[in-house]
Amino acid sequence: MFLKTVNVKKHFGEVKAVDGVSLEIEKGEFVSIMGPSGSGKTTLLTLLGTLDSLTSGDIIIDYENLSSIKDVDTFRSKKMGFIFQFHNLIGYLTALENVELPLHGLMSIDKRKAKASELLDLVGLKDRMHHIPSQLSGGERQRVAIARALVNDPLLVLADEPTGELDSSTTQKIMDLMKKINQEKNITFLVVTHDPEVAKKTGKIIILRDGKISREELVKSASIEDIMTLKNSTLGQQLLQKESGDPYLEKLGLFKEKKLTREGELLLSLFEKVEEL
Amino acid sequence: MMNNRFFGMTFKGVFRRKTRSLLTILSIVVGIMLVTALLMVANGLNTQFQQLSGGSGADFVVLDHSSDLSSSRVNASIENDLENMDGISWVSGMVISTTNIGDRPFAFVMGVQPDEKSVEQFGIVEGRTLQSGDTGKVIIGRVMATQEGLKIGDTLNIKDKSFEVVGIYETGVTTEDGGVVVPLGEAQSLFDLGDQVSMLQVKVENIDQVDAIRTQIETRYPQLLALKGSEVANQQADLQLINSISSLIALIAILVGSIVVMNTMIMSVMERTREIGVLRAIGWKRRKILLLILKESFTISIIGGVIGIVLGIVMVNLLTNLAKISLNLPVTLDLVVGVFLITIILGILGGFYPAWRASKMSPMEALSRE
Repeated sequence: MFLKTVNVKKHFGEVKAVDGVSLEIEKGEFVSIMGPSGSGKTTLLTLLGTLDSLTSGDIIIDYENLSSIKDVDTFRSKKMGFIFQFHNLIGYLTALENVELPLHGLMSIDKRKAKASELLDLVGLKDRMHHIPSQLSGGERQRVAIARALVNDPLLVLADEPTGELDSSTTQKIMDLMKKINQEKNITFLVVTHDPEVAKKTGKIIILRDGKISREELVKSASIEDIMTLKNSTLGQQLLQKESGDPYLEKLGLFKEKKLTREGELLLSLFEKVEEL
Repeated sequence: MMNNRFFGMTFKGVFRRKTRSLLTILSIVVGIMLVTALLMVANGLNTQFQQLSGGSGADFVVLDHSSDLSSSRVNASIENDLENMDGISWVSGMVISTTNIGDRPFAFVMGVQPDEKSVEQFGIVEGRTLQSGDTGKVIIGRVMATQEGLKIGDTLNIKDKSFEVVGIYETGVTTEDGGVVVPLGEAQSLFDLGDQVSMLQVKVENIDQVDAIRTQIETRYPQLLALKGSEVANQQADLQLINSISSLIALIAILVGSIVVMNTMIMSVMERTREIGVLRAIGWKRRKILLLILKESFTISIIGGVIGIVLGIVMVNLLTNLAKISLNLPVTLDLVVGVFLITIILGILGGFYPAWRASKMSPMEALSRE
């Protein structure tokens, strides 16, 4: 298992921010963490991101138990990328310089520049790389932040309300970008969000309540949604009524003499299976 | 290569708040300018005094315990006693005092016996030197001659008494070259000294015996001090005062400068809590954050320091020219390096605490909600 937590707890005095969370995430998964405010989702993210220490429990990332790692700064800089709610770019540095930051001290300036501009190209900002954040739109800033999170070739990207400051159409674009990177590079993404539309774009939703996992659900993929749409169409309705005089449907071989054919019945059974999911 | 880029970031960091950084730099400029100017004056005066008593070839000078050249009094009878001491080659009495001449607020007036050795330190470049029996005659330094436009045969008033210029000398010591030399007797009457002199220049027969003879003189005349050139400078009360004041002001400048830098850097660090949190979150180590802030405070203090040193030198030269003070105040490497060190100390003192605070910040700050 790429990422595993065993009964992880983080208590701040009396407050049990995270109170016994056990979860398993495969490499390349795109997971969202939802829950009402105060449910511990951001705290869980800081624990997984080695930004804070545990009260008890174990976290294993990339087959290493975090408690046995001495230099968490280096571990973090090699294996993780972060995307924050307020893009958190440094205002006096250009997009390119911001993306370079995680590579400081790791490679020569030329390599750093090349790597950073490659990532800015990936997020579609090659022609904006010498702009400072105040010269970029909200969506562009968050793209720069995504490029920065990816520049060190991380295995795991942790995002804290990455679309919290964006309008819905920009949110869609940012989520699509993250999903594309997730699939193309097989990087594991973990997104904390309170937006159901964002969560729907991920593969798995973990819902926290009072520091515990209250539910885990798989998100219906787009193809399932397409079948549902088909089921609710006029075609679907005619199949469900098992009767149609539509000559085109007869030509397609779904009906013969107004009755369902074998092919028609197969499609109907598909609708029933989708309903069960 | 990498450092270049890193300093690029430092510069941007420093000037993200232009007005504040420029004001901070300005305050350092003022402090360092003052320190530079004061140290130049103090160093220059020290050097001058060391040279002042060494030009005639004397091995040491004898002063009284007031040990300030212009207030020291030595009885003429002692000169005769010393001349009869074993191992002493010659003794020469000399008056040194200061007064205003023309529109120069401060000029040395020296009195020597024309037939004694001490007159020889004033090498004549024009006209003649003082001779036995001269009255109402004066020889003047090259700097005085040039700045006051005086020629051989001109008349010069010292304390309302007229003197005829008979010669122009040059010693290379600017205080001397900006002064005048009159016969000893005339100097004594100008400054109401009776038959006293300011100091005695003494030459010994065998240089190995200098210290023994000095001890002997100080034992025989407990009211007197026998000092080598460098010691004379150390004994000057005025110089000591100038030295301590300039050290004190240098210290105050370091202190105030550090506080100003510290204040600026603390404000800067506090404003950048989130930025520092982000840098920590993306893997920057504490040490690197410490360096980032230290480099910024260094940059501020070094920019201020360099400008301050240059302006300090310019200011001293302007002031000495304006006030027509004949002081050779050289810019030595020691001085520049010293003031630069002060600037660096200031940068470290002012930057270390804010840098330390920054390095203690948690990467969690990157996540805090606004």
